[in-house]
This record gives sequence, C-alpha cells and structure tokens, in this order.
Amino acid sequence: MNKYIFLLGVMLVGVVLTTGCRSPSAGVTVESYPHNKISVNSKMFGGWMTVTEVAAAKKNDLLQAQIAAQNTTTRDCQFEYRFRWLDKNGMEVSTPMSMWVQVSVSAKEKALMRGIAPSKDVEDFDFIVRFLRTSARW
Amino acid sequence: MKIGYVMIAGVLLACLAFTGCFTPPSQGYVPPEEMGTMTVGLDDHDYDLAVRDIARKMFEKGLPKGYVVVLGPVDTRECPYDVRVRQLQKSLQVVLNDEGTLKFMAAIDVMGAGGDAGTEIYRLIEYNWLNQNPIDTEDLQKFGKLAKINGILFGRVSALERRKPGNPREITYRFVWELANTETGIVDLSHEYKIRKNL
Repeated sequence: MNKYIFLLGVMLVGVVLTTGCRSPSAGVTVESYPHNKISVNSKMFGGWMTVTEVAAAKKNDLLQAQIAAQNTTTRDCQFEYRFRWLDKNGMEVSTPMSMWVQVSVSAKEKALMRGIAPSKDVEDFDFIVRFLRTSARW
Repeated sequence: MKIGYVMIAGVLLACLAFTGCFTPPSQGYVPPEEMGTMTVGLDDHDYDLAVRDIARKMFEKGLPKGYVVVLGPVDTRECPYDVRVRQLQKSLQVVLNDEGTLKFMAAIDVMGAGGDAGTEIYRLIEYNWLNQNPIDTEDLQKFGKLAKINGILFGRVSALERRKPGNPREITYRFVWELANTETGIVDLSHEYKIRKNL
C-alpha cells in the first residue's frame, strides 16, 4: 500500500511540475513609478536572471531607460524584453516601438537593455522580461 | 494490485481535469508584438526591429524640432530575399509622427513638391547612391531647397546566408542607414543594425 502512495505522490508532483512549466508568466517586471519596483513573477525566471540596476534619464526631452540583468546560472540563456511607456497620468502611450526584443546572454553575463520613450509625454515605464516565447505556440 | 492502479489513474485524471478548468481557452488571435514564426526572409517582426532601431537612434541623436526627413533610396540588391521598402517607410513615418519633433515624408511626395527639377535631381542622387558614388553636396542642397526638407535617409539592406552541417541555415541581415543633411551636405547620422537568424 505504501508503494502505491509513493507512486501516487511522484506522479502528482510530476503533473504539478508539468503544469507549472506550461503556465505563462511575465518573468520579472520593473515599474518606474512611484519609485523603482522590481517584481519577480516567475520563480523559475527569477532563478536565472536577476535585475541588478535600473537607470532612467531624460535625453532630448525623451525618457531613456536602461535595465541591467545578470544571468546568475552557468548556462546560456535566451530571453526577451519589452518596455511599455506611460504618460504622467499612468495611461499607456501606444507605439509600434513597444515590442518584444529578443536577447541572448552567456553564462554569468550581464545584459543591458535600453529603451527610449516614443514621445515627450512619457513620464514612466513598465519593463517586462521573460523567457523567449513565440506567438506560434498559442 | 489492480485496484491500486485504478485508484492512481483516477486521481491523476481528476488532477488533469482540475487543472484544465483553470486553463483559459486558446484562440487564433496572437499578440502582434511577439516574434511569431521565424522565416529565412525578413518577417514582420524583423521590419519592426529595424524601424525601432533607426528611430531610437534618431531620437537619441536629437535632431532639431521640425526637422523634415525623407526616406531616400534604399539599396536592396545585395539581399536575396524581398525587402519591403514601403513597409519600412510607412512604419518609420508612424513612429516619427508619434514623437512629434521630426517630420517624415515619402520620396515620392517630395518629388511631387519639388516639381520636374526636383525629380531630376532626386534621380541623380538615387543613381549615385545605388552605384556607390559619392553624393554631390550641391545636388543635396538644391533638392533640399526645392522640396523643403532637412535630411535624406539613405539605406542599404544586405544579407549573408550560410548553410551549416545538417542543413540548418544562418542568415544575417545588415541595415546601414545614413542621414544626409541637405543644408550642409554632411552626414548627420550613420548607423548600422544587424539581425542574425538561425533556422
């Protein structure tokens, strides 16, 4: 009887893990308002990549942001990131420039991801970084 | 023995069914800002990346307010796959229009504004660019005055393709941009962007 319980336990853990791997997640997000806030939405992604620096400055009246993320593992990692730009009221400024950009980093390498606001109305940003995902899988 | 296996199977099925209840239904519309299916030719995502990059470069450079840019000739002869210059042009127009400081015009509209003389000079500039000849400063200045523009964005898109053992392909697209100032004749901005894809 104990054997069955053990088997059952192993299979249940397997099912839960498989489901977990398939769950979509935003990986890690960085919000610039009201102050820089980093949220790890996926423990798996958070275990691979750590956001180490967040820098923002205005250049030519346009908000520029740079996020540094460190690959903390000893394996190469492919991921993608996206900036979403917000005006002073927190409303999204829609732009074709807000798209997923693919990046590869080597083991222990630090990736620098840069974005520039599409207009002068932009005051804040949301930054999302996650493992590569193609629309084709949907 | 058998009852045990039936029990395990039953519990597993229940788990799967339970998980299924929390899985939203899939649908055909997908986020267009994601990369989608990768192709050896330039796909929609590649055009977006290329436009985003040159626009970012122009924003960082900080060209004067009201600076009017026209997308001039884009040489695509060293690219074995189709390059939709019109798509690059229109996407860039949308991005610059959102930014508000820079104005963007299509070459064809500019030729209309410059009249026959404008068209003739533009053809000369285009010929020189496509044949890798130096662009005559005087031509640039004349064309700039006739069409009331401040800069012409010249482009070159080339690709190198390699077959690797086992037949996968690697292709590298190179976008080279030069923004020539039609008042001074000098290059205000020179930029290169590469997209490498493994298929």
